[in-house]
Order: sequence, then C-alpha cells, then structure tokens
Amino acid sequence: MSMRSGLLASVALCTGMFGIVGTAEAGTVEFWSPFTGPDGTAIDALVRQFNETTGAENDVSVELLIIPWEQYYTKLSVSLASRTAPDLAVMHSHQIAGFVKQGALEAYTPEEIEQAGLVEAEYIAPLWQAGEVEGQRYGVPIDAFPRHIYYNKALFEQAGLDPDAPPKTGEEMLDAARAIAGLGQDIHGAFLPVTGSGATRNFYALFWQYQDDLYNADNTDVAEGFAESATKALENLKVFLDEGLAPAEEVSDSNSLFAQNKIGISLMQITDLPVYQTAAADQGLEFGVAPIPQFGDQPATFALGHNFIIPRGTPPEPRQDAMVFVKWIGDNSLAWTETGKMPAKVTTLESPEFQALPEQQIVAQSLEYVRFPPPVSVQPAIDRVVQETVEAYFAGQVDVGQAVSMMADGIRGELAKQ
Amino acid sequence: MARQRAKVLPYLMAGPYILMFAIFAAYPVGRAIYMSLFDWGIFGPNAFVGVANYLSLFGDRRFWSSVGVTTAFAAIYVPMIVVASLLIAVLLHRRLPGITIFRTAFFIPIVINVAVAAIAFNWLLAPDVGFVDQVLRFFGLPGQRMLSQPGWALFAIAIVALWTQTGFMVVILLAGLENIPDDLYEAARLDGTRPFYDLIYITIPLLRPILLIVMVLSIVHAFQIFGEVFIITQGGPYGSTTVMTMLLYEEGFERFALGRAAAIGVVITIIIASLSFIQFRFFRRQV
Repeated sequence: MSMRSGLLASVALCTGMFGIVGTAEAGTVEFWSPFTGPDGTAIDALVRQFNETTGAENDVSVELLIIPWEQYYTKLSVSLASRTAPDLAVMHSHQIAGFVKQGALEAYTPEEIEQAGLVEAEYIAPLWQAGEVEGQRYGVPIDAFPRHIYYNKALFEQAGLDPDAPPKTGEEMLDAARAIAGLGQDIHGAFLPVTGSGATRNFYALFWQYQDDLYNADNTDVAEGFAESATKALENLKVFLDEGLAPAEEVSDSNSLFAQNKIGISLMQITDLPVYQTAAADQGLEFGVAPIPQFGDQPATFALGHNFIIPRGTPPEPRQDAMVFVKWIGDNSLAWTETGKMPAKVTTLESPEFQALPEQQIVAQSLEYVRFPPPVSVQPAIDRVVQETVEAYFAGQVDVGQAVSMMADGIRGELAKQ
Repeated sequence: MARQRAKVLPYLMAGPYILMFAIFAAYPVGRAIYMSLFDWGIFGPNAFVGVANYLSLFGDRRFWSSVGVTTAFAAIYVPMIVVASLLIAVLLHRRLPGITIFRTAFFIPIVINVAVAAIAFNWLLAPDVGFVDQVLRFFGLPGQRMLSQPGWALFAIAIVALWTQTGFMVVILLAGLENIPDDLYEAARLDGTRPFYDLIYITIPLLRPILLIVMVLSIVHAFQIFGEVFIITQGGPYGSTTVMTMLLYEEGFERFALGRAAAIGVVITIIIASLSFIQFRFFRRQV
C-alpha cells in the first residue's frame, strides 16, 4: 500500500468512525443525567422500561449517560460549546436562568408542549413555574426536593416527648432539642448543616417564613425588609449552635450519627430518605419525617427540582422523540418518588400508591408553600455568596449584623453582573 | 552554501521550540487578552466591552479578597519553600554513603500528580476520620480542624504545595552548591569558623543567583496555585482559600463569564511578570 492510499484509507476509517459516533440512529435520544447511587439505578431502570414499552411502540430509544453531578455542569457546558451536547438533559431549577442567559437552552414551544400532551394543570404549580424564565418555558419538571425534618422516635421517647408529635414551630423544635440534648451521652438535640449547600438552603427556608421575596421587583437589589428577615432567619438557626444543642462544627456523616441515635432532629431534605430507610431496615432506626417547623410568620420551605431541558442545537427529530420520553416520565414517576423525591404531577401526588408512601406523603404537605430560588441568571453565584456568609456567621467569624450586611452587599454585587 | 547552511541551522534548531511556544504560550496569552475585551459566553463573544471586564473586577469585593488570599498564600509559601529547600539542599550536599537515596527520596514528590497529592493530604487532614485525627485521638488529644478554619486551611494548602515542590527546588540548589569551590570551606575551616557561619558567609552569598531563581519560581507557583485548592477546600471555608485562579475557575466554568475569567488570567500574568521583573531588576545587582 502506497503512502497516499494508506492515508486515504485512514481518513476513510476515521470518517466512518465519526459517522458511527457522531450521528445517532433514527429515533435515538441521547439523554444526560447527573443521578448516581439509588437515583442512578432508578433512572436507569425507568429508561429501560421506557425503551421496552412506550419507546418501542413509538420507535424511540433513549440512551442514558450518567455524569456525576460534581462534573455535570462543567461537562454539559463544554459539550454545548463544542456543539456535542445531548438531545435532552436534566438541570436543577436554579441553574436554568443562567444557561438561558447564555443562549444554551431551547425554549419549549406551546405547540410542542400541547402536542406531547403536557398539561400545565396536571403539574404542581410551583414546580411548573420553576421551569419558566421571562415568560418562556425552558424546563419541564421531573420532581422537587424540599427541606423538612427527620426526627428520631427512639430519642423522643427517651426524652419524654411524644414520638408521634413532631415539632410544628421553631419554639417546639428548640424545646424538643433541649430535652433530647439533656439525655447526655454525646447526643445532639438537633443537626443543622453549618457548611455547604445545606446551610444555605436552611437559611433560605427560614428567610421565606418571614417574607416572600429575596430581591426587589426588577432584581437589582435585595428586597425591602431583607435585613430584618435575614437577621431573624440566621439567629433562629444559630441559637441551636450557641446553646450546644447542635454540632457547631462540620460533621462528616450526620446521617450515620442519626442512625446511631446520636441526633434527635435533623433539618435536611427528602433526598436523604433512602439512607434513613436503609438504616431503619438494617439497624432498627426508628425515625419520622415532618414538614419544616414554622419559625416565622408564615409556612414556607426551600426546594429545588430537577427539570428536563433541551440543549441548544438539538435537531427537530430527536427533540420530538425526547418529548415522548418527557411525557412518559411524568406519567410514570412513582418509582422515582420512592428514591426520595416529590412528584411533579398532581396525578401522581394524588394516586393511592403515592399516598401509601408514608414519608413522602407527609413531606408532600409542604408543596402547598414550597419556594424555589428566583429565576435570575446569577442565582448560583448568589447561593455561593449566601453560603460563605452563613458559614462565617455559624463559625463565629462575624456577628449577625456583619453577616447580613455582607450578604446584602454580595447579592447586590452579583445582581449587578446579570 | 556552507555559510548559508550555518545561517539557517540555528533557526531550524530553534524552530520546534518557537513553534511550541507560539502554539502553547503566545497564542493562549494573546487569545486571553483578546477574550478579556469581550462579553464572552459559552458560545463565544456576545459583545465588545473594552476594559469593562477589568473595571468590573476592580469594583468586585470577591476579586480583591482573592488578591488578598493569593498574596497571603505567597507570604506563607515562598519563605517556607526557600528556607526548607535551602536547608535540605545543604544537608544533601555531602559526600556520604547512600546520599543519593535521600536525594531521590526528596525528589520523588515532584513526579506525583498534584491531584493525587491533594487527595492524599485531604485524607490525612479530614476532620474526625483522617489519619492525623486518628493519631491525635490515639494519644487522647482533640481532633484538628485544619481544613475548616480560615488561616489553617491556607496553611494546609501551603504544606501540600511545599511537599510537592521542594524536591525540584532542592535539585536546582544542589546544582548551585556543586559550583561553590571546596577551597572556600577549607579556608574557612583553617580560620576556625563553625559550619553555621559557612552557611551564612559562604553558601548563601554564593548561591544568591540560584536563590533568586528559586524565589521567582516559587512566587510564580504561588500565584498559579489551583489544583490543591480546587481539590482540598474548593475555596472554603467561607472563601478564605479562594485564590485568584479559583475565582477564575468560578467565573469561567461555573458562571460562564469567560471574558471576566480571561481578565483575571491577564491580571495574574501581569502580577507574576511584574514581581519577576522587580526581583530580577533590583536583586540582580546585589547578586
């Protein structure tokens, strides 16, 4: 073989290979998700089920690629920049506005929503609204995961508390934590994350119990009354640390401590449920769940949700096929809620099967007043500002006045970058 | 013909280097400067903004905080590595049996990938479950929380960088030590000086050119530190280890403000170039 013909053969081979890799088969939808662990197993099973049933009937096959969430958004953005993005992907609700600002997402048209059989009235209102940015729909909700409490029934009993009457107000939670901490033996009355996204989300949950808005009407500054509400939210959380009722320092595995009957009440989110259920099955843990106690003037809690998004550049055919899958997941999401999620659809929420899920149906009560981060493009950056400030306040590096001032300045600075 | 070949040959020899430099150094720097003048998103430039990215940086509290953190890191790291590598180099510059084993041992960390080193130190220093805490607990001492306290977290990053980089600096200093004539030490010995004075009056003065290089390289490394921070602390606790490169990453890969990220990169380059210039300009005379 001459050098020239060898070269041509190589080029032909490469072209052929890229042809195979780059062009999906007809009816194939490339789908990226950040779900791992039990969530990964569940989404994989759902995709298989779809491919074998509705997918097969409609000549649609979904190819799932799981990318751990730590790398997910970096890889998704790189794929968008290099025009190799999937046809369909999962995105957290608070990330949508930022990607929209970059022009990275395709808006769902009202026609394709209708054609796919997605009906707004069938979805839980706040979850459906979380997929909208400036009047356009970019996300179709899959689920939501609100903040709420887990409480240790065995410790409640030991402390003389009613294990069937979890705290409903901030005062009651404080009293219960005091009683449980009084048991001694390194038992913590409560656990509130003092670092990371958990600390931020708990702050938001309590903030919204004092007022509705984080920002002003045109999203250029913090809302009126921000300082007062933020102060109350921060102080109500810090009192647990100051009284020694909750660990003031980072705990590497709070769920294990809870399972060992060392924590009375944990302010976490529904996605932790499988860990508690496993501990109940393996270690005999007796736990209950309840909506987040009301510290402020109105019931409210923080939630995020997963959404289906269509990356920019998805061709019409896979886009149409993707809608079949989006609709099917909405109609068949009971298995997904079993992994510790709230359903996106009212029909699932009201189904007898969901009502039979003891923990999920309790947390579902908070869907009436659940709140999502506002759809501003800089929300993830604002979350970082809030996180750093809350962490500094919990660590005693700044007082509450400084913390609120730092937070407001930081939020203003980020809003100015929109 | 031969004369012409002699003229062309040096360029041919330098060609591969110039090509590599152009592709991997000159082009990226030029591209970064270009990008820093635009509002640049995931899909490329949106609008020409001139120096607006720089002005926005200079008005950003987080940017100045990152400059402060990077400077603090350099202030911790540079003296530590210069002193440590000098002392180790002097100790290894002895003709003792088996000394090459020690020289190799000190050099080994330089071939270890920064990610591996950072993950290993993360395990060592993890609160409660890390090796260091387990040892402390064995002796009845309370656990350390180095990575969750602002000052200590930056110090921990400096220790990791010190561990990975000292070997390289030692090799450079050993090469310098080889060039100091033994006669000087013998003369000092005849005059009755002690080894400590050898270090102060002979070794350090004659090593100044090499020490200058070690300092410049260390400062460059300090302002470029990223992998250790990204893996061990991700900029925390509460932003206390958010160095300039970490902010660059956040702007570029989390916020997708690639123009601002490029502007941070240009500022880092200017700082490093200025510090290197100042050092060479003012200390070379003394050298």
